[in-house]
Amino acid sequence: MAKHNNDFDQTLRTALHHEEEPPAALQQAVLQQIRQHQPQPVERQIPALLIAVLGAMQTISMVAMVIFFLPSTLVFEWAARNLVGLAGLMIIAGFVLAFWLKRKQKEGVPS
Amino acid sequence: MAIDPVMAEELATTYGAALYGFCRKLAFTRQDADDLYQQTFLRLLAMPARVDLNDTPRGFLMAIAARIWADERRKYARRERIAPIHSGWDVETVAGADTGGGQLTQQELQADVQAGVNQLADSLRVPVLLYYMGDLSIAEIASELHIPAGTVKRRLFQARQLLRQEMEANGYGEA
Repeated sequence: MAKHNNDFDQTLRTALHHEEEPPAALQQAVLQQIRQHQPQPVERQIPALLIAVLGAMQTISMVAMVIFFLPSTLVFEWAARNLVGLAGLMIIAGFVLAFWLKRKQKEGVPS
Repeated sequence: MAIDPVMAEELATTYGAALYGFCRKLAFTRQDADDLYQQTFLRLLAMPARVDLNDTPRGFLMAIAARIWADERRKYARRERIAPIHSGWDVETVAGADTGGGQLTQQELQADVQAGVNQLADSLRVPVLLYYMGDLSIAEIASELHIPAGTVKRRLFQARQLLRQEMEANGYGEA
């Protein structure tokens, strides 16, 4: 049975082995893109960072709003009592996110 | 720091054929395959320099292509549900073979395997192609696709079962 499985594995491997030269124009275009590629400096990525942070803050606020207006009085009362704390948490979360994004950008990962 | 363009160029030259073959198997049409091939290198250029390409550069490039393909499929899934973009399989890659009920020749076998793989769902097809074409290990596939190794094993097992059934119906394994 094991041999049968190995044979089948080998059959799949052989049958799926496929190499095909890309069309010359395509390969040329790819090589051209690689040669002309200029890594984006971090300063140029700042607007993207700001948009990401603002977007995240807005998402957090929207989630908070939904929680506040849930028909559960228990949740409403708890949120109302801890409004200041929640706002503080959101701000901290925003800062953590900003630092994380900044670090990722320094590593060269586009946001 | 991003990946060195000289290294990217070397990869394109050395593994271009293998990657393009993979893209042709993964994508439905030649145009999709061309786009996928091009996007793979663009994504590679945006990657941080610390990415280790020394182990299995061929499999690594294929994994990037597979991720882009998965992203694109997700993006267009809704549109395809409303108005399918791909009405059929790429005739060139799945040209079926007439077995005549006898034992399969190597060429027929290859055509049958290709047709079978193309009929698999993307969740099964991508691991199969990465495993058999890219020679990636189960752990590497799991890491590239961000799924547990157990899930990769299960999907490979399911795919093998389906392919075996399909091929046995076409005469594979007959003495």
